Amino acid sequence: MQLKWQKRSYKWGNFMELSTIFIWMHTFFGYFIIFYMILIIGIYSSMLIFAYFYMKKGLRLDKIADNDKSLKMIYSKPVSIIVPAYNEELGVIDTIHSLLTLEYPQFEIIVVNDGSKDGTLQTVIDHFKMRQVHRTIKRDLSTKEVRGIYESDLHPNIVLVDKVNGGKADALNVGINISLYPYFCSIDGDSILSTTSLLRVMQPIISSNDDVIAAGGSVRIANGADVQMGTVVDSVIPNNPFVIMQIIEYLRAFYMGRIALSKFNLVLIISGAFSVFSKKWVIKAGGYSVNTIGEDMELVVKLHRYMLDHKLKKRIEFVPDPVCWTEAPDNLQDLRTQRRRWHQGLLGSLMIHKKMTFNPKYKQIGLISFPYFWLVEFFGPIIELLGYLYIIISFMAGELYIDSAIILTTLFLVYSTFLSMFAILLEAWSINTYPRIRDVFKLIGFSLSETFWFRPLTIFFRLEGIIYYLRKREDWGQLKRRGLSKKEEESKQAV
Amino acid sequence: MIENQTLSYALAASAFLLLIISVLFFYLIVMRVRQLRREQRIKDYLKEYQDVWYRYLVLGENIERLHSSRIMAPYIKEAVDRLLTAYVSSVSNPDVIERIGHFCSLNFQKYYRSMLHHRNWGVRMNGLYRTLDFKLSFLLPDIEQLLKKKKYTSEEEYLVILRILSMYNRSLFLAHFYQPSYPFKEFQYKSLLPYLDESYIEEFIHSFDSLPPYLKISLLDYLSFDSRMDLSYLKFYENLLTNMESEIRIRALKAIGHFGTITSIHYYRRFVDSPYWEERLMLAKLLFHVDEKDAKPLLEKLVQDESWWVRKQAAITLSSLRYGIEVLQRIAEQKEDRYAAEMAKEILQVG
Repeated sequence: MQLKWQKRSYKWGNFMELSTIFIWMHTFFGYFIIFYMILIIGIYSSMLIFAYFYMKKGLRLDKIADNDKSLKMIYSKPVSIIVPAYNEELGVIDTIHSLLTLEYPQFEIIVVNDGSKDGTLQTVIDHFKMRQVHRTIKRDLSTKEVRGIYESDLHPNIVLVDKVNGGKADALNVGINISLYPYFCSIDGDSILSTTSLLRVMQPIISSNDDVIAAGGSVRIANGADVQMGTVVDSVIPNNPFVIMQIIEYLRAFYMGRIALSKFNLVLIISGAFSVFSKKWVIKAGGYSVNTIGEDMELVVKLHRYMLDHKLKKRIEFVPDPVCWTEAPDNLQDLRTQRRRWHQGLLGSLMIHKKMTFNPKYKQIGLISFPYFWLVEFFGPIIELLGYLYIIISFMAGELYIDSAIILTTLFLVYSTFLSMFAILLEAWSINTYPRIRDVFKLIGFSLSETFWFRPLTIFFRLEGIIYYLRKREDWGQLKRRGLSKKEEESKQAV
Repeated sequence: MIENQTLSYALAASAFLLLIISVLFFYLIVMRVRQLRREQRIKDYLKEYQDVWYRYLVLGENIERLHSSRIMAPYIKEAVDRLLTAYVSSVSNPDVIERIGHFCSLNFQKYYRSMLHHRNWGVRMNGLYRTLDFKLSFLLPDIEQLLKKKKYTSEEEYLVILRILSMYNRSLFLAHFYQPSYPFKEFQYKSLLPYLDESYIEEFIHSFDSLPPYLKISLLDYLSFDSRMDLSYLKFYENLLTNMESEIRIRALKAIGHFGTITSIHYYRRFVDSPYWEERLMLAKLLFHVDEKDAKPLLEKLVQDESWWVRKQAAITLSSLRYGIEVLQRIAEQKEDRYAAEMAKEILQVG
């Protein structure tokens, strides 16, 4: 047996020398990666151009005159705000207080204590003088057991639910069962909302006559911003390179993704930090999935799927107005965890609904969104990693292979650095979040370095997410609270 | 390696892109600097002239200096436009608005007209808002032209145009309101109704049956929010209770709930057996305003309804009535209907 194999390999060796295989493989991979990069750059550039025209349209609109009219809508629909809380005794009160300042005609706040091991439950009970009540619950979604419901005499629109631990998705489902209003809004513990956030996110739902069944707001990075009373007064680019790179990333996602995707109802991800859903449709789609990591994306995909299965013309939209600020991870470890989880969740959702890919029954979602998310979002890091390896090997292998390595390096530069720069310029020209010229300089400067450290890092984190998914590792993402509200306290005192 | 052709192409391409980015960046900075300078000049103008404008607009003094539009630099026009907008949004004195309209018709006709015909959507919207807010009737022919030639590109523009028309051209407005160029649903009608003159509302009520379906629904919602307390409205709502459309009956019941009284229980009894839970819900709500002898048996039935929402509302209504607590206690103790008993217990605790 062994002899035979040796013989065959010997024949092969005669037939095709090792170096020939190397050249052949090299050429094939080279072309493949180059083709992929050109395709992606093409997709991103077209979305960037689309975003340019979109921004240009409304740029000169007198926002104050316009807002004044739209915000006076007296017919706003009541919303239930669900706050899932797990071991959050430190920040939960601040979160509730900031929600109480929302400008909105009618809303209730449902705090769901997901079996916390710390004093979350007692903190809320004590602070708002809550007492246990007997309340019948509609069991629209099946969940873990509810241990008790508390109401407050001080604030009749706050409800506290105590339940057995079951993860964030389960807590949100309990909130949906308890909620009284036709729309609900899920919120992450560590986000800062402005007082008009809810009005703005509800705007597309109201003005579309309920054709829009879910809407997510644009989330901005709060690090470095001057936050007072839940409103960002002044935004400056901070000095932490991780945060700066994430600001650039955010701009990319916004101008080379969200705007164009939302316009054509292709959105698969709306921010979990602050999104509104129509309860009726969420219940029909089965609520939040308990067994996936990215429960927000999973819900959006399920909603799309339900609508297309039932041939309903409903939309899911993304609101370009900034409605919510959140603290970005400012160190390597947190960034790693975040990216790993994102990618794990993305792959999870794509796999659960893999049958939608290229399925004409699922129209724009099956034919465009799914292929897009597979190709760009999922395979992106794998192919980019291969690309980086390819460049390194080619430069080492000598002059013969240098051509394709140079082409690929250029494409990588265009893909990360130059596209980022265009996004930064578009931002400076239109919304102008960072008015200081030197901040624009700083962003442009940092984007030059993107290809060399930040991109490769996030590629590794995302690959780690894929490995986690394959090994079926489940870690229930505990909402880790950072010091946002504390900083807010300080800034308040400083003023 | 420097001689490598690919490398030089790659370098050239990168350099080219960098060049474009630099040019854009430079352009952006120049624009920003110019913008800042312009803002400063506008600020200076406003600082210097705000008292003069106050005397002209609020006190009604005739001031010559303000009427030399031919020499007005573009930045001054922008400054004046901002100042007038600020006045309109903060002052409700009709004399001020009339003076603003007068001033614009003498000096700013061209300025605002060009806004209406501008290429950029945002500027056109601003022009329409100014026409509306400053009551610029001299622009009406332009607006009618826009409408006729369909020279508006968005529903947002169309809605503002209709609001303007409602003030000046009743028949044209109604023609568009009844048969709009965009598919109007509740939102569109509801966003226009609050701005319409009372005479329109009366007309809609009179010709209710012939209105477009979405306008009917929106009108009822609008009226109930507006809480009109004239008994003629109650008569109008009660007549609608026999309407064929359940949507209309539900809204009429809702409006009556806001109204707070009924003429006779006779109109309402049959809703207790309605196949639509929303109708039963609205009934449970408005029974609060009905006499004990009529309401009690209906509420007792509704608190045992198959719909959770109806049971809950019936129990809430009962809990706020003098005789209701006793009814709830009885239901909480009975054994036949567990759901009703639970609901009664819950409400009794809260109350």
